[in-house]
Formats: sequence, C-alpha cells, structure tokens
Amino acid sequence: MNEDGWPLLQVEDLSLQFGGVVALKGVSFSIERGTITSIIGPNGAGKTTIFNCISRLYRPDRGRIVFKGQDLLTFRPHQVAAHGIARTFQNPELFSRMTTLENLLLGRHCHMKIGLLGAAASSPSAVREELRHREPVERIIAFLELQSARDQLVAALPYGTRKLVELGRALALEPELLLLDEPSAGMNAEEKQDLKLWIQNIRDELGITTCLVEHDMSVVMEISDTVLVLSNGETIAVGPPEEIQTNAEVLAAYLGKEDASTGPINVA
Amino acid sequence: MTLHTEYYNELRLLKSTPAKVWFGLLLLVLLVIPTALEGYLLNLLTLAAIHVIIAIGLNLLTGYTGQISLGHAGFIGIGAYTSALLMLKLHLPFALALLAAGGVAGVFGFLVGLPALRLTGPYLAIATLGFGIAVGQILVKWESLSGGSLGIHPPKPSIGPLVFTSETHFYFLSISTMLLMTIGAANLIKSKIGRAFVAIRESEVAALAMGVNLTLYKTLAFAVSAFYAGIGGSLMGHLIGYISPDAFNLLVSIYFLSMIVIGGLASILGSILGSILLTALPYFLSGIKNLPMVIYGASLILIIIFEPYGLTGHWMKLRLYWRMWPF
Repeated sequence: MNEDGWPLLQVEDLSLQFGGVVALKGVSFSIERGTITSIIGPNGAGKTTIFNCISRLYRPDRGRIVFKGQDLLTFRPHQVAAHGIARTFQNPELFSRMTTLENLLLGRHCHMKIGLLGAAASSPSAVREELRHREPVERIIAFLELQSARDQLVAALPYGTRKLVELGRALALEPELLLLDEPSAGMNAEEKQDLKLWIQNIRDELGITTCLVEHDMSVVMEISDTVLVLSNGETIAVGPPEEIQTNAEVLAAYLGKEDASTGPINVA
Repeated sequence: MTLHTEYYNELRLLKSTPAKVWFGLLLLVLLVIPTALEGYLLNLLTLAAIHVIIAIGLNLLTGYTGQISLGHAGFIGIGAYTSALLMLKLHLPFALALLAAGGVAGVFGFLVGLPALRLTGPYLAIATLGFGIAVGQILVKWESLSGGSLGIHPPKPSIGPLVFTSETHFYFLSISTMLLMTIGAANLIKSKIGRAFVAIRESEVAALAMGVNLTLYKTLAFAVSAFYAGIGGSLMGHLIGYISPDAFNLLVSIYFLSMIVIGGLASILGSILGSILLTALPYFLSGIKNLPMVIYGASLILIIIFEPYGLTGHWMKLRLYWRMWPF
C-alpha cells in the first residue's frame, strides 16, 4: 500500500467487544486531510474506544485502520506518535511533577535522536539538538498563551490550563493527525471560545487535521467540517453539521424516540 | 539576551555565578581534605563517595523512573565480583575491570528490567527482591568461581604506573569517579532520556501516546541504575580488600533505598545528602551496636510522613524561607 489515493485516515469495519459488551460494531469512516471531524454520541457510544484503537491501546477484533496508506494495526503503540498521530485524553494525562515546558518538550521526544552517551556527556550535538527543539516548543507556548504557566509544575495549574498544556504537548509532536478527547470538558464559556479559535487555527495555520470527541454541541457545530454520530457502537450518521442537526435518527438517539412510551425528552 | 542564549543558560548545570563559586570551593575542599584527615575518617569519606554513586544510580531508577528495586545489593555484588575476578583470574587491568563491572551489572539490570515491563509497585518489589537474594545464593554455591561463603580478596587496583595503595589514592579515585558519574547523571536527567524516565513515572499511557518506547526506556533505566551499582560495587570491593556473598544481602538494598528516601527521591542532591548522612551515622553511633538500624527505620517512617521530599525538600524550604525573609 502507498499513500496515493488514500485519505489521511481510513477506518473500515472496526469492531471490538469487551466480554459481552459490544463497544464497536463495524464502524467505518474516513478523515480527509485539512479537515476537522467531530465524533459525537451518547455516553458509552464507543467514541473514546475508536481513539484507543487508533492509539493501539486496544486491539480491535475485526476491521482495519489505514493511516497515510499504511496499515496502522501493524504499528507498535509507541510508533503511532512517530508516524504522525498525537492525542489528548478525556481526563488530562499529564506529567504532573514536570513543568509545562518539560511536558511540551516531551512532545518532541520522537524527533530527538540523541543517544545515552551523548546525553550523559551533554555533548555539543546533544546541546544543539536540545536548543533546536526549544524553538517550536516556545512557539506553541506563545500560540496557546501559556507563558505564565511555562515554568510551573503542571500539578499546580487550574484544570482548564492543564487541558491546554495537554493540547500543547500534542502539538509539539507536530502531528499530521490530532486526536482530541473532549477538549472542552471542564472549560468555562470564555475558554471554550478560545478553544474553538485555536482548533480552527491549528487547521488553518499549522495545517494539522483534527478529529475530536466532543459533547458540547456549540463547539461541534461551529467548527466541524464533518460530524460522525455513534450510538451503541454503530455509526448512525455522517455528514456536515447542518445535515446532522436535522437528521431524524440522530435526534432519536439523543432525544429519545418519539414513539417511545415516555415521550420525547425535553432538553431546554 | 537573545532567546537562544537564554535557553542555553537553562541547559547548563551551574547556572549562576554563586553556584560556580560554591562548586569551585567544594572542589578545593575535596582536594585538601586528605591533608587534614587520615585513616578511618578518610576511608569513611571514600566510602561515602562510593555510596553516592550507588545512591544516584538507584535514584535514577526509583526516584526518576518510578520503578522500585529491592535487589540493588545484587547489582553491587555482581559489580564487586566481576571486577575482582577479572583481575584475579584473567589479570585484566583495573580500569577495564571497573568498566566491565559496570557493564556486566548493567546487562543484569537490563534482564531484571524485562519483568518490570509487566510488574508494578509491590509486585516489582518482590521480583527484584528475589533477584537480590538469588545473587547472594548463587555466589555462595558457585564456589569454583566465587570462592563460596569464604569470599575473595580483590587486588589493589592500579592504572598504568599509578598503584592505588594508600587511603589517599583510594580517596581520589573514588571522589573523581563519583564526580564524573554525578555530572553524567545530572546531564542525563536534563536530556530527552531523563524526561522520558520521569514521563514513565508520571503517566505510562501519556508517555506511550507521545512515542516513548516503554520497553526500551524501562530496561534502560534498570541497566543504567545497575551500571552505577556495578561501578560502586567494584570500587567498594577494592577499597575494603575483601568481599563475601553476605556483604550483599537484603539489608544492603534497603540501606540504599533509605538513603534516597531520606535524602530525597528524584534528586541528585538528595542522593548525596542521604548517602553522606547514612554513611556517617554508624561512626557517630558506633557505641551502640544496633542503634543505626533503629535510626534508619525510624527516620524512614518520619521522612515519609513529614517530609516526602526528604532532606532536599527541607533544604529547598529553608532556602525559600531565607530568600523571602522577613516575610
């Protein structure tokens, strides 16, 4: 397989079962370069499970994932990042007793080549490499306005800032595909506004393709090019946001079926 | 000041002029000590330097990478025996035997690191404990190689025409090795590799998602840590001039673990402070036979409860206090 003719990411017939619980049932979708894709769906629909399959934390029972024309399921978990996929987690998985700067520098891990002896001797090439990788990291700190948190331990930062540090760490990897798991969770209205702008800037200025799992419909509908709706591990709709908003099946999954005995759930 | 020089300054080990002055003074003191001290006290200082090497190695593994080892005595023993046997049986020069001691211990560290890929916390503690005990038992049983429980006498080392016979010679050998290995560890911690170690301690799943090869870096942490223990073991054997399997028992592993917990986990300064304190303690308490052990135990408990960052944490607080004074 080569890169020609393939979308950036193609997921085909992805299925995964945990014991008796079906997490994913034949999910297929593709992500084109330079787009923002949102995966939405009720709790337990299998959204994060897709991310975990792409990160190779879970091994799907069936189906395949093709990234840039290569079979992603042949990668070992740590190789996914080096191939150009970065992710964040639903609950920030940060290195709490490292500073913001160190967290972001860890994002450069794949790009740094220094060996054990060079590092221990702090050889000129080790120093040069370290300095070279400082620059993109400092640019990201400025981009996400994290200057005041730069030298603080992440454990001491407020929740919203920690989510940004995690986003910054993923960006430091210079990925081609960025997976964001509920980026706006725990953020206030103002932070959400900033986040929307940033995700759009990440696409427009950095040229990074983004896929996000998100619950906040204002975020999803405003920034997505494509929305994928999952329910009980199955795709129930794919399309541009305006189409999804009026899709009968989506409304049923979110609001309950109209013919159900309890009647439609009233969400104000 | 351009950004570039600013980043460069952050990379240096000694950042400010006072730090350089203090380090210079320290070197000067270390240089003149042998003229002021001799005999037992000088040997105690030499031993402290060797302990610093081992403690820093253990801290790289336990403090920085978050992997406990209750088998470090095994690596120290492997280092001590490797170096002694290479010199006794193959007549290798000391410098080579010393490096080989670190190397062989490092290989064993790598092997012990393999199960660590699947084991965490108490399970890893038990696995490494088993390794430490096994090394002692094998050294007792493999009499043709190790001389059994009677032990062997590592020869006096020499490098080229320089024969380390006096206490002063040993002092300089140990201090310079200690300084080199301390600087190496300090550089390592600030590098990509050190960051990967800490990342593994803080969140394995995030480290993995950022492309850190857990297999490689966990086994590397074990290997580097064991290398430090092996070098320390070799020097210790040649200094004392006699080694036997029971010099590398479980208590020795716990002793080094106490050093880094009392001194401060994930801190080079902590490893140094802890080693000096625990090496000096028996000297000042030599009147009462079991008191040092009681004090290790008690201070371990007190430190974990009241000062989780060890002596280093206390030092940081004091420094902050004086800087902020009188507020």
